[in-house]
Amino acid sequence: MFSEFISGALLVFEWPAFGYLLLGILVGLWLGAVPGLGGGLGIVLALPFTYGMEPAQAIALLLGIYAVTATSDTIPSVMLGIPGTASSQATVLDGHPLARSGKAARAFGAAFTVSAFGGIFGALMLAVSLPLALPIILKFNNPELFMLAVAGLVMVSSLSGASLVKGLIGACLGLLLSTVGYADDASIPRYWLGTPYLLDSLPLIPVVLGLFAVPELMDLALRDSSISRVDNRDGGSGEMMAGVRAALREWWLVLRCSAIGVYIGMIPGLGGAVVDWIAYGHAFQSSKDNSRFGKGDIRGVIAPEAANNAVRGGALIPTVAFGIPGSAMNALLLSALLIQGLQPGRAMLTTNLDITFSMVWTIAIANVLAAGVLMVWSGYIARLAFLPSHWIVPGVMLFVLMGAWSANFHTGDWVSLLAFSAIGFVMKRGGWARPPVILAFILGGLMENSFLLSWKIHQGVGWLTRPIVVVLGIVVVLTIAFAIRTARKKATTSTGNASLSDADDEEDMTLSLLTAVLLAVVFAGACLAALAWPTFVRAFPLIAAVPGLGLVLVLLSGQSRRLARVPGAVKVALQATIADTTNRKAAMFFGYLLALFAAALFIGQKLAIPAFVAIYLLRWGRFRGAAVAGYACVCWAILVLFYDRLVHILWIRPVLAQPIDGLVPDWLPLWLIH
Amino acid sequence: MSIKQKAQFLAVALALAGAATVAQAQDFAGKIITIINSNPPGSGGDLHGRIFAKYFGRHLPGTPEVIVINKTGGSGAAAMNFVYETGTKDGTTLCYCGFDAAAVIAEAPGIRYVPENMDIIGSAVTNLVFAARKDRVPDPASLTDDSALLIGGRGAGSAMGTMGNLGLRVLDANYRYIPGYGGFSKISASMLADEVHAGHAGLSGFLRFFGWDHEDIGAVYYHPVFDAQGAELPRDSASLPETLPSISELHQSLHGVAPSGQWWDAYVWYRSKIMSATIALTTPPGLEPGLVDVLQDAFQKTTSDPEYLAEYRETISEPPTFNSTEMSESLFSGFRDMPAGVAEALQEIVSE
Repeated sequence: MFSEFISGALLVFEWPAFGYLLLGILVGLWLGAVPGLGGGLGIVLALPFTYGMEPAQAIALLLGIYAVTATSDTIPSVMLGIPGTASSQATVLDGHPLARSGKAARAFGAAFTVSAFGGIFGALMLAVSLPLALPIILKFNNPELFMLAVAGLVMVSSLSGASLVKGLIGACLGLLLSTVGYADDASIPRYWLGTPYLLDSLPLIPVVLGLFAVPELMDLALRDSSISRVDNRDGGSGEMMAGVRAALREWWLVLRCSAIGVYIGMIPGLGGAVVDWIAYGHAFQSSKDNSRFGKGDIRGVIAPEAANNAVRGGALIPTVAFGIPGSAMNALLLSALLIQGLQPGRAMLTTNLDITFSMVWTIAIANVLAAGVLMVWSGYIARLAFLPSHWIVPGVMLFVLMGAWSANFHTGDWVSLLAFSAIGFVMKRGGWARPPVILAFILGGLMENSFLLSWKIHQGVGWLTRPIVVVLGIVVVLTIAFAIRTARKKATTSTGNASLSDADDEEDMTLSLLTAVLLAVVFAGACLAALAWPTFVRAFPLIAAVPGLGLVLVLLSGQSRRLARVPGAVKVALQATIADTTNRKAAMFFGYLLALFAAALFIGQKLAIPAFVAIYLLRWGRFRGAAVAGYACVCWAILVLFYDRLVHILWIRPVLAQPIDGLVPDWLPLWLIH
Repeated sequence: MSIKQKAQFLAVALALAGAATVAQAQDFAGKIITIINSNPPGSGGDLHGRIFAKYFGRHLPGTPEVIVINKTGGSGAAAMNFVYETGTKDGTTLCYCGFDAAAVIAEAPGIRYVPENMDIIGSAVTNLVFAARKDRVPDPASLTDDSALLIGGRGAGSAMGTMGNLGLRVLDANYRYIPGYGGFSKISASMLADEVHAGHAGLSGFLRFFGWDHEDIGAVYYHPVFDAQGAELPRDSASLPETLPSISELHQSLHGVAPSGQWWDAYVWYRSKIMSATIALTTPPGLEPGLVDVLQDAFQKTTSDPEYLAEYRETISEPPTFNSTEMSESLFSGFRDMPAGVAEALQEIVSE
């Protein structure tokens, strides 16, 4: 085995395999750092180029991309409060407050250090666990998967907001949203509002970007300052080293969270979506003093970042050993292995063991190199926190818009983005945590599928007595009990501790109530609509909507009792909301987005988006001259060169295509225009 | 030159100009052909499409660049709708899609394309097998045991589910169908964990996840292909081992007679009419006939290109059987003519 271990290393360091690895790392860093792209896109783009390569070269390129997106996705999470990928949501809770207090470099120093460690740990576990993994994987059947997802959701709901009830309501909303479209095993569309776009379920990326990215960008635009709210621009390298030291000091937490990452990653289907939350929850619950969590505690960055890199090695175990891909990205890697003539299974542990070890080496080396590169760059990246926000907003907005559009190349993608941006903004302002909504939305499909398959296979609910299901059920109960105890403790001490929320510090009472009332209507309507469907089709929507409705009514009754104690409180809250300049500016920002969408329909995205960028810089940023023109031109070049020529996306066919074409001289290719 | 001569000259000139325009339309030099693939990136169907795209351009006049864009959803309907409604009518937008004839016949919500209005450039029929755990189906006779086999699948109404379950009815197998699996990767994981015991699979999926020598899972029989008269065609010996029986051979060994009756009639019809164009390359409606001929010719040349076939073998497995242009066209236009007995049988299968 040792000779194969060395042969695997030699395969990685051979030229041109090592060159492909470096290329993969750079591509992966870029894709992880831009919200809405992600490693899956990189693998799709790179896959056709690997057909003619040697296995080690192809693996170096693809695993280079695969391994490091979880390292660079920290950047938007910390800097903008926007998760770069699904596995960096929990990093937002403490990473973004650190950036706002001028300590982005500290967050990066800690995150990149533990990312490297987590990645190496995941790779090592991949090496040693391959022969031992089968019994664990085969124990996690549909009932266990369902219960594990429930445990993850309850953990997120209890952690990511000041109110457990609001967190659980958010989770119910996310689950309900995941049921839009065709049911799994019957040709009955649910909640599709007569719109064919909704027949296939709501697309993930526009929903995530709408709920998270646009409200955060609006926040930046409306504050008219920089990401950092304090001036600490001289502390770059010192802060970064402080982050590195913090990571080394917390080595035991890093080790535990890396192990969580590997073992959660091994379970097909869950992987990255939930692991950062479980690690975050573990850090929170195992800390003696957790009063700083949610306000910029470095342990809140260390825990999820160690886990979400380690998860990659763990997720490769079922893919390589059994051909069971746990996620879309792993399915792509499985394709790449098969294209190379590598059949997952025993051969990967015997005749192709050197290739397997080359994968281990690739992941380890990629993580170390990526962390090194980002350490070097982190000083520069952290300085972005002190730039005027108006330089950042339009550029990131371009990627948000195109990320959403890439979901289906359909105008519905932008409508979804806008709708969920409004929902996200109202939730943020109204003190509703958004992570439970997103996580439930991501896991909803898997949970419904696992629940229904368990029901059908076991012909009832007998599966609830399976040992692992019972253990996970106890974890759920303990998590809720712990959250209630923490909330009571907080209420009695009034210290404001342990308030972990991505929502605004000051809750807008009107928007909070408005959200609750709207949710009550949505849940009630969902229940009524579901009653008309067959049992298996309506079961899961009701599992989401009935508890959701009950919890909203509990919340509303509590809030109305509180309001009743203060005469005229509703009127005062309403007047405050109307007078709030943030809300009015937000309405204006939405107006800009609507105008952009209308313009794109008439003249196409390649002209409309740079025009939006220029107008934003002129009107909101009050910039002038060559800087505005240059910025808009760069945006146009990204649209044309990256999205059109490289990614080959489909564009809106503008209403005014013919008149525009008539104005374009013959020598100018039309793809430059629309 | 008299007026008559001038008129004749003008007519000839116009005809030549028209022919030149058609020829120009059929020359793809400098153009980009976009193939919309209804399969998700990295899936077997995606690989089929990408390898095809790599070679298709070289058989078209002007050797254009051919790119693939994945547009998933609605069991292929999203891609078909897109091409049907917005595809350019100059041959530069094509759909490499799984064609869901059952959904079209049922007028399922979301189906906005009318296959008969589109032109079919070519199609292929894939080999299908029934895979099962070896401990649950140690021999064919165990298919009819008292304890029901649990069969994992996407849904009884899906093309693969309907086809596979018709086969089980033909064999008089004792089974319980568990619908709701997203695809064969999930079914295979569930089979390995012994949650379900068997599943219906395309040959490439079976080879991808198990292969012929797998310790725990094996192929029990394969679904043969039939000609237009319903006669069973010989086995595809390059892809299927001699030891693997066809469903009719298995029926013979289990029951002592060749299969017949309502289930068999429905099975043959479904395999011939619905499951014989599992992959189809189509165009938006309204293409000029000459252009369609050029594209059809390029399809046939691509699918017999030795380099294409070699890469297909190397990358995936043995290529599927590609239908002739005439066969493809007849499948695309004749799928709605369902006999009453077949409709009755399908109704029962779908409502399982």
